[in-house]
Amino acid sequence: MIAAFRAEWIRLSRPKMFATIGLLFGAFGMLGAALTFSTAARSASQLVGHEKFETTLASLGHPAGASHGFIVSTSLIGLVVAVLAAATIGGDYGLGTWRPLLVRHPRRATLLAGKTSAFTALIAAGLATTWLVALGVSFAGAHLRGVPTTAWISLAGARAAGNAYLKALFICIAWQLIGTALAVLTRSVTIAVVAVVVWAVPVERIVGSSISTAPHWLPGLLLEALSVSDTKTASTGHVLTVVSLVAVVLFVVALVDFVRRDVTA
Amino acid sequence: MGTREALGTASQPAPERAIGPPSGGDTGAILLRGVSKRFRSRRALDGLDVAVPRGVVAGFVGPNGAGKTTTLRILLGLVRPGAGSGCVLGCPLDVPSGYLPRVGAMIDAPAFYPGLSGFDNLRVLAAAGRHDPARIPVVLDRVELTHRAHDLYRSFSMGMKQRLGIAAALLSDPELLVLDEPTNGLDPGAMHDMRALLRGLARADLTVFLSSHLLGEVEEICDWITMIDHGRQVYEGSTAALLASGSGLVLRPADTRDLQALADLARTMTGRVPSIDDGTVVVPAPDDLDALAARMNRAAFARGITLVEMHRLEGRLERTYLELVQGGLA
Repeated sequence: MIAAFRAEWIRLSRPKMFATIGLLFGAFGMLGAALTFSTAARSASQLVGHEKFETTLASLGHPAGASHGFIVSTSLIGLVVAVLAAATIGGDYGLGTWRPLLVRHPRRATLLAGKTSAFTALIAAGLATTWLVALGVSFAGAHLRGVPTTAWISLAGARAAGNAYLKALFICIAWQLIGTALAVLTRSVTIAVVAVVVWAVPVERIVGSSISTAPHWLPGLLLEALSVSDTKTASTGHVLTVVSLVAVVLFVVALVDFVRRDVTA
Repeated sequence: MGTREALGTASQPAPERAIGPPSGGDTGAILLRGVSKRFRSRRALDGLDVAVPRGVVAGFVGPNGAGKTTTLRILLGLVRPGAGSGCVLGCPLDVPSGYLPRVGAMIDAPAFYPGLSGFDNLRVLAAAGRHDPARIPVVLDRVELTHRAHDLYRSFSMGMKQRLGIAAALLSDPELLVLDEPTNGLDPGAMHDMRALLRGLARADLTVFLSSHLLGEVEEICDWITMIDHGRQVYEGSTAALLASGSGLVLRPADTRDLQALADLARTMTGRVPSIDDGTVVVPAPDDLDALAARMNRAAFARGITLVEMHRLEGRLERTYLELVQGGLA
């Protein structure tokens, strides 16, 4: 698996790839933080519309306030990660690059696991960029809107930032596994990407609004609830359990399929 | 004459190395027994037997759809056979991880990441296979790509892509090199260079298994041939023996009324069945053609048959191939 990781990392660690991921993830961090501070209400009574996406200036002054913009941005990043994962893994089918890789590394399960791990490492680095950019924009937003930042620079602030990062990483890994699994099962970038987007956007929304219990078990809606800290829809423990189960089961099914199916592309 | 009847009596120059099929406990480089594969309703392989000795450049020929690529994919662990067994470099076919570290391969078209340089593409494969990265400059030099090593793969010409594919196959310093149509899509100059490269690869401790539909190429490069059709083997043996089996003596009598008498005489003298074609008698003769020519000339003269033309018919792989695969030239 380490060999597969190193091989994929050579491919992913190109300066161009780093720059693309850095810019993309940085842009999301900027957007999340900018939206957070520009839409923050002066008091709880002013919260209108989509309450779960909004916050108050007072709450942004708490230790977790520095990470609020970052965690909001992950609700957007998750879907992008799924698409990127589907494109990366599915691309190997389109290019025919599974063939030379499998001849060099015939243990298929570790090959796929190694490639997936390398992509996770890239996403982890990308999220760090998101966090740094979001933090920078948050400081600027706090200055503009008069939010005190003393609590951010504290042990509690660091703990909140760490929790936010792990939460974001969990969301991204779950989406990554879903995207990877769909790419392996469909063996096509186009079909996998369309499947991810259609499932995450219209299907989950329609099912979620039609069936009252759906937000409790649909992975996309659960991850969205996690990203905006909406514990009314589902507890964090419930989200972690259900989403882990869905993502891991889907990935294992894809892994078994990858190991057993003939490679003719 | 059945081509297989005449094997082992080659009159062609003997190859430099004495070669023969794997025997006894030796499984050679490749040994397949009764391998079958079906893709839904289509039968790709139907009890295929292959036995390639070590240290040869073996050509793997057959018409389109004969099952060549499926066979190569099975050898490389990409496709699992439906039935049959085999060994590659002495390891069981069903455990590819046992032998693939000693195998280099280029199957179908070369496949690399277009956004990476040739050098970085080889780094990816070297890392995946735990090969020594110090081999990369060596193999790039071997295929004469050093000067373009750091250019993006997408900027490579077809010939350069094929050569990078060969370089990738050589990364592991393999004992067995499996190549699928390595000159496919190349212009004549690049084709010539590729053949020279392949000839240069031949050495005692390397077996090359080369799929090609270019029979001239196979005849030129290979000293062993495995021929398949409809997923079954139709011939396997040394190229020299195969070519010898297709060679003969062409005799033209001055009077066409002597054709049948001349054919009867040839049959009596050689024990083989000659054919009459376009005013000539063609005597299949894998043995010493010069001696036969002298004897036939004397015997024909003794019977009052004047010969106005007598020449060798060199065995050509294409003709033999057509006889084996399509049942004759007609």
